[in-house]
Amino acid sequence: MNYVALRMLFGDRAKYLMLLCGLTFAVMLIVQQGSIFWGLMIWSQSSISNLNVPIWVTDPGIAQVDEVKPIADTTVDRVRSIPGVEWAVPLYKGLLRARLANGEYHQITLTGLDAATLIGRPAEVLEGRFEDLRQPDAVALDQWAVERMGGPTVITVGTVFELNDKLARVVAIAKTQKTFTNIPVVYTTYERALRYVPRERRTLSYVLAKAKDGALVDEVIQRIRDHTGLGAFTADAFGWKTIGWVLKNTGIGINFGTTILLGFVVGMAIAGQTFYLFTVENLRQFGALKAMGASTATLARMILLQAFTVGITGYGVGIGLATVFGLLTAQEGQLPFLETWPLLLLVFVALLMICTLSALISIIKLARLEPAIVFR
Amino acid sequence: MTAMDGSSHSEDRTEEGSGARQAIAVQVRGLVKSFGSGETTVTVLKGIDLDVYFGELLLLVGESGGGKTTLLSAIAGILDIDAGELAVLGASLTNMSPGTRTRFRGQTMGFIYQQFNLLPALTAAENVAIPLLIQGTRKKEAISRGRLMLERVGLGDRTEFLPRNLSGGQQQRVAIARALVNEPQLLVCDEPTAALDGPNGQKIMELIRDVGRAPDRCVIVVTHDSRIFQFGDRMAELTDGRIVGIHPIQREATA
Repeated sequence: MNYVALRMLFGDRAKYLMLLCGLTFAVMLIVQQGSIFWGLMIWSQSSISNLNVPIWVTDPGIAQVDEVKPIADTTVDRVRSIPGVEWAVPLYKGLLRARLANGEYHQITLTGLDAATLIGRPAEVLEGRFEDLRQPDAVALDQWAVERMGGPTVITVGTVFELNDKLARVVAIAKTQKTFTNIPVVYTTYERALRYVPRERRTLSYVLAKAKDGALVDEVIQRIRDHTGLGAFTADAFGWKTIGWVLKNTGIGINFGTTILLGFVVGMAIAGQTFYLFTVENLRQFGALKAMGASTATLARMILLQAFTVGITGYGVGIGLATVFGLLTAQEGQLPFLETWPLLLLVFVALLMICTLSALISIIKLARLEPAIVFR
Repeated sequence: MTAMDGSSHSEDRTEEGSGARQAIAVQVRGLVKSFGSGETTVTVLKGIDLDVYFGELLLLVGESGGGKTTLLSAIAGILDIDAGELAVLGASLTNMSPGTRTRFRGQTMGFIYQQFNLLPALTAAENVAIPLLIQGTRKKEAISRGRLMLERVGLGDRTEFLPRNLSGGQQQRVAIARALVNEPQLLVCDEPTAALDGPNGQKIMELIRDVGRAPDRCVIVVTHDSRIFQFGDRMAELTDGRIVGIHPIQREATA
């Protein structure tokens, strides 16, 4: 009877297309919104992932990476002395205003790296040499800084600008992942960063560290916590902590969650209603099938096959459309769009739920159907 | 032992004229069926007694609302009864579980409806194949047998037509082919000519009589179309939920 079920489904083209459109819309909306949401979440911890270091030592009360709480300058040496730590370097991170030659001001995130090792430098350099940061007044920018500050005609390698009335000369432009706030990132050495910023009692933002090969990272992290009384996290854990903070404090989760839920409900409503109409309009035919010996289980299998056939088709089309949207709008990382397999799996499960619930309404109707309807 | 016990048809009658014995195909005793509840209860069948024999075409006639279709539905096992006994083809429908009854219907009965009830998305051959597909016959074989059955009802050149491309008479022929494709012993027809004009109704009844009436088969037709009475062997008249008369049809008089 599978053949009959599919012929019934494809035979009523208007309803089939309506069902397909409803489910496609639901899948596309959920995947598109889910991908943008996840892209934004990844952006929110870009300040961690862009530095690509395994262990972050922080203030014990740290909530997220952009909420810098300075720690004692001696912390670097204390961390270095802890068994299992291979290396530890300082990191400065703070907000500052840059004044360009054309008189424009831009807020920037100043990132000060250990001058000797440049640990935390971006992996890919687009222009110039990152090692030139060791030259006097040298700074490096990420590509988003160039874009935000006026483009390559305004600022590029060799351009000079001011940071807190002190000279800064661009020696390199690096490729990084955009951050949630999209504030331009300016890299320099740790010591020079401290010269740019107003004097404070504590200036060390974070200590970046790595466990020795063979040492258990979790154990080393716990040792750092025990010895220093500070916070210590793997990059992943700090990233998740930051994502958790964003979700809790910005309402972004509720906004996207509502849209995703809306996609689910709209998909459910359209699919459920169309399926129900499809069943009601074919009630006499279903009654005839029952009279001719088709059991309720057979009819239920037919309905489920119809629902899953149109559902899986809608899943494919919906994901395809969402992916095209992502490719068109999120080129070069301009918009956050990250389509991941767990999201696609979740959407598939949601779709199965939509199809099952929609089919269930029709199955209940058919289970209660007396085949005698065909004689009325 | 009687048919009510679930055994084979043991109660026979002697066919008039020939002296041949006819076995009972359907036996109804004291059948009661009501609809609604409380003060709105309407008793549609009020103690029906009826025997239908193999090899005959029985017409159920009577005024609208008299209970003809309800009785047909009960005999076909697609409507639960409130009281009485109902034996069809030697099996007691009264004692059957719904699942068994569904299988029993599929294996032993063919249905012809007033509105044809063909699936609009399926071709004529595919529609005819449905009872076989329900029984688990492979698609290719079922459709092949469907085509053969369509040839038998004169639609060999219309096997791949969709119902919407067939006339009303042709659609009813498809429905007849569908009803006969699994060689049923009991053919139940509800107003098979009601949606057709006079000549087409006559042709359809000729077809039902020719293909439906066989020694091991019986046909029950609900109708109020007096033009087709001539095709029946006997006529049972229902009025207000009771059978008020069962009598043979004199062919010479009606032909």
